[in-house]
Amino acid sequence: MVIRHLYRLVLLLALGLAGSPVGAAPQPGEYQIKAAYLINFARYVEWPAGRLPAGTPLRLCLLGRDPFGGALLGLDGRQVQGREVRLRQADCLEQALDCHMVFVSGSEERRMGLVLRGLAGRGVLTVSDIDGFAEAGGGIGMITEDDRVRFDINQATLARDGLRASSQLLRLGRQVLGTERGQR
Amino acid sequence: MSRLVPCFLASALCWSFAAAAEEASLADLSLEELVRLDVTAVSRKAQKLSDTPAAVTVLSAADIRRSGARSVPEALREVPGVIVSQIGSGRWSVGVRGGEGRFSNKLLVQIDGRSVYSPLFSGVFWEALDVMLEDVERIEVIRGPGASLWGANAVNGVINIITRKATATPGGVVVASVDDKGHPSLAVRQGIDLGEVGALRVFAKGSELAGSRTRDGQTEPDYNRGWAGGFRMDGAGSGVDAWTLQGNVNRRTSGENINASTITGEPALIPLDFVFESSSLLGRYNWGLAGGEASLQAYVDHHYANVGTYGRGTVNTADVDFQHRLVPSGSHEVMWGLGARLLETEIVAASAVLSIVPPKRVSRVMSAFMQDEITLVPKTWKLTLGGRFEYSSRSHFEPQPTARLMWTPNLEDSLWASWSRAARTPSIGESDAAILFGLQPTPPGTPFPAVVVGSRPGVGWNRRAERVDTLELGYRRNLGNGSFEAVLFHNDYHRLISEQTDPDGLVFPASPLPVEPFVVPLQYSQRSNLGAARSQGVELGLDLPVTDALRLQASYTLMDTRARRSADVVTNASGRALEQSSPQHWGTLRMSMKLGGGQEVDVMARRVGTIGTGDVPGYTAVDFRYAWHVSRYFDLYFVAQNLFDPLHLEYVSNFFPGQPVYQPRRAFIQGVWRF
Repeated sequence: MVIRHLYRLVLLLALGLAGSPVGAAPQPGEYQIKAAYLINFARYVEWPAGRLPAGTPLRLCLLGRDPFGGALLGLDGRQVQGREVRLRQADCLEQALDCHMVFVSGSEERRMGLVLRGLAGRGVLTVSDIDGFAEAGGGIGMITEDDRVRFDINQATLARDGLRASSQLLRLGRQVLGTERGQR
Repeated sequence: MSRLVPCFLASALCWSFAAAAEEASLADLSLEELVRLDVTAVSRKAQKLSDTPAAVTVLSAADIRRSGARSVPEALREVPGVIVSQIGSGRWSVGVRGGEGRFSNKLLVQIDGRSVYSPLFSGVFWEALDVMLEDVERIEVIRGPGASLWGANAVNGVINIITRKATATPGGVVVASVDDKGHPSLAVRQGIDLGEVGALRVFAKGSELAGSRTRDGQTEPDYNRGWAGGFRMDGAGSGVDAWTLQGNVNRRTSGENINASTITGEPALIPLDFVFESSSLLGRYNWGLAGGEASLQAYVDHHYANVGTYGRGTVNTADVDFQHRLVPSGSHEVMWGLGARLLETEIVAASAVLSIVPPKRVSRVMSAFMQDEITLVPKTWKLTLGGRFEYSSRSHFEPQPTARLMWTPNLEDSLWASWSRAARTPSIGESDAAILFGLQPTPPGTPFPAVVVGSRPGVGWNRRAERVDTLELGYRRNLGNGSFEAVLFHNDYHRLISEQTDPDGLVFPASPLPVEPFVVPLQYSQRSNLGAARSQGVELGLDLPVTDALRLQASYTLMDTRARRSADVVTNASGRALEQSSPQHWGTLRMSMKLGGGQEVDVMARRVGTIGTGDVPGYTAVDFRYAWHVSRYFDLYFVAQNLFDPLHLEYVSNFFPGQPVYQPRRAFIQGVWRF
């Protein structure tokens, strides 16, 4: 951290930008926004009652290396739809099987197909910011586009796993892939 | 349940260090608010690379767009270890870790898994390559041997160009641009939803590229124009089984001059006109197999090139590739695959300059690979062992092993060391061709005023492939939204194809000559794979968000190649040519600024050291790009290249004596319409 700040300081001085007003209002970083999205996905997706009975905690898991830099910690213990969010790190696919929502880290890109296959049909909402995640059969893919974080929803994947996305979620998605027709 | 407990404890430990207070407020925002929120610091995907034990750079679609590139080589300029020089109009020399040239024979280039590396001359015809950059999802650049996964010819590096799935390109796009000399370019793509089947996109593009200049900056001695079209179809992304089918056709013509001299010593320029035609069809299917994931890919590819009245060549390729990633078991993650390729090549030489025996060849390549990623200590130590075993009917059995050890002590730092061996199959040109380079004057007092010099395979031509052993030591640091990377490499090349003096001396009968003494003898040099060389270097890369609106990216490469000396002057000369084919250092610095209102400015400066081949002096070039994201339907770009430099030379073709051409100051304006 110290080195990072030192780098910035040196560069700021070198560029004569130290006094410029650009850095005045600190804005949220990409992963802080992505963490905030996760809690909203938990809010707007409905799990089958058998998979997530009312009032029981919702397990949110991170599969792979943590890109959030601490931003996920603020989610642990939060209340969503009358249930508590419990955060957990999954080091391997097996450990992610009983999670309700799994964020697949970019470090797992090479294993993406394997992960999606392993979690298919188990009532797990998969979320990731790997390029083309929703198109590859993931549940929700986050995309950073024009400096905004947007998301694509794969309706067919959600339907297959018995998950229901609220109309609000579908409306705000950048792209909704797959139709529910013929899936149930 | 019980086996999950240790995992839970570990995560509690690892997360307990970070603070959590300030994120709370963001998490209270609604979806509507989040969708409208501007991200300040967009992180490049450093994390996903942080556990890759290789020197890999991934250029995202945004990186490509911000580079102002209209061709693949231009987009590669900012990658450390990669040297890109413009030879002429549409003609590029792209080298990774040295060995640069018109055909960088140790660099494998693939588009969506299809090799565009030509087996005729061992290299890529960049002037014939026409990629719809707007549909490229990413370009992966792997420096160092990638042979264990990608196969032969991935000696110094692999470039993978990956296009977006058709399901990700639903709309229509029109890209039109025109440069300061009026050269136009137009590309159109339309996505078509096929409902439950999937999606299709079709595209067509045509362009006329700007010409280079002669030394005086007055005339344009070269040209490049052509068109391309194609489609890509992908299955609906619901299931985990996926398929893709894609096809491409393309035709480009390009012209340049080669330097020649008459018998009286006067310089002369001979125009060469090339026609390139290619078509391909590729299909791939991914499915679950034994708990893991398998993919089967097959493609056919046809390439045709015609060089004026001098000759023409055809390459037909059929390739099948199977890969299987097994479900991880214990600390092992295994991947294996099989591949087969059938190559049919034909070169028709219509002049005495080039003769190929036999003109037609069918070659077969069979290969198998296996890779095991072994977790030695969870999250900290990882060992990757891999190997490819390749048999080519034109070469020998070539085992290509690799061992990579990676240490990731924390989330920020990763350190790796690797050893790999890779092979390069000799090209058809190298093994079968006799080439006449032209007349060379002889010292006074010799019976002939000149001799015709040429090159042909030596008597003891050995079919073994060129081989490299590479040692690599790399360090990567994750700087929050930025990253820093440093890689040291050492390459040890053996069995390099080089020239040596023909023991037969002058060859008679000789070529006719219109002046006295009416004939000149032939002086051949022999090609053999007796060359050896070493190279080492360091590659540095930095990506640093300075403020919310300013981002700096820098790369620097320093390297040195030394060929083994020999008692033979011809061998030494070819060794020197290898040493001097690349600059010894080069670097780039890019400033990306956001001006607000959807406007952005990029300034990229690059400094390239002198290149011995063709006596190319070092140069500094500055490119400028202004982009205005007017609305979601329209973007406007303005790009100016070589801002502070009226004219400079970047490279002189080392494959044949091309006329050195210069790159002037240029500008173009481009509009992108989406609907």
